[in-house]
Amino acid sequence: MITLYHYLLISAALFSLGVLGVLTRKKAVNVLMGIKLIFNAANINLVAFSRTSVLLQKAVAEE
Amino acid sequence: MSISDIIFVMVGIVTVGSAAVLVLSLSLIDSAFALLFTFFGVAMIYVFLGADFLAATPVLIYVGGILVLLLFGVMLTHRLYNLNLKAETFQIIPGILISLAVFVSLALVATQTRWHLVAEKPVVPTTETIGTLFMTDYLLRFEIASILLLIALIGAAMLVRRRSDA
Repeated sequence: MITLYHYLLISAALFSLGVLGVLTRKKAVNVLMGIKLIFNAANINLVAFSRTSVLLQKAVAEE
Repeated sequence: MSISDIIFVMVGIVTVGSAAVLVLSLSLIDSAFALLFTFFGVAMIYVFLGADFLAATPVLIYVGGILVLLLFGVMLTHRLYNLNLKAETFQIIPGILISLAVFVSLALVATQTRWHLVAEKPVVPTTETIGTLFMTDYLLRFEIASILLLIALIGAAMLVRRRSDA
C-alpha cells in the first residue's frame, strides 16, 4: 500500500540531493539542475497533499 | 506487496538514483541524461498520484524541449571529448552535511507528523477542469503569465543579438 509517507520520503530525498547539487557545484548549469530537483520535490509534495489531505481537499471544494 | 507497490518502489529507486547520479557525476552530459531519467521518474510518480496533466507536461516540455536544447547546446558549443566539461565542485564537506541535515529533518517531519488523511479520491481526468479554469477564473493570471513569457522571449532575442549591429 502506497501512502503519503512514501511520496514525502521520495520528495525529501530529491530535495536534499538538489540542495547538495546547488551547494557544491560551481557552474550555473549544474546549479540550475539542482534547483530543478528542488522544484520537482516541492511539486511532488503539493500533488501528494492535494490527493490525501483533508484541508486541501476542502480548499479545492470551496474554490 | 501488490504489483503496483513493486512498480512504485522501482520508480522511486530510478528517480532517486538518477537524481544522485545527476548530483554526483562530474560530467555535464551524464548529468543531463540523469536529469532526463529523473523527469521520467517524477512523471511516473505523478501518474501514481492521478495527476495526468502534471505527468504529461514535464515530459513534453523538459524532456522534449529544454533538455534536448541543453544537450544540443553543450554538444555544439564544445568539442565533446577533449574539453573541460568537468564540473568543478567546492564546499563538498559542508554541502554533504547540510543536505544530510535537510534530509533527516524533512524525513522526521514527514514521518512523525500525524497528517489528517482521507481516503484517496477516485482518479478523474483533470485536463478539462484545468482548461476551463484557465479560461474563466484564472484568465487574468494566465494572460499575465503569457505576457511575461513574451517579454522573456524578446529579452532573450535582444541578448543574443550581435553587439555590432545594435
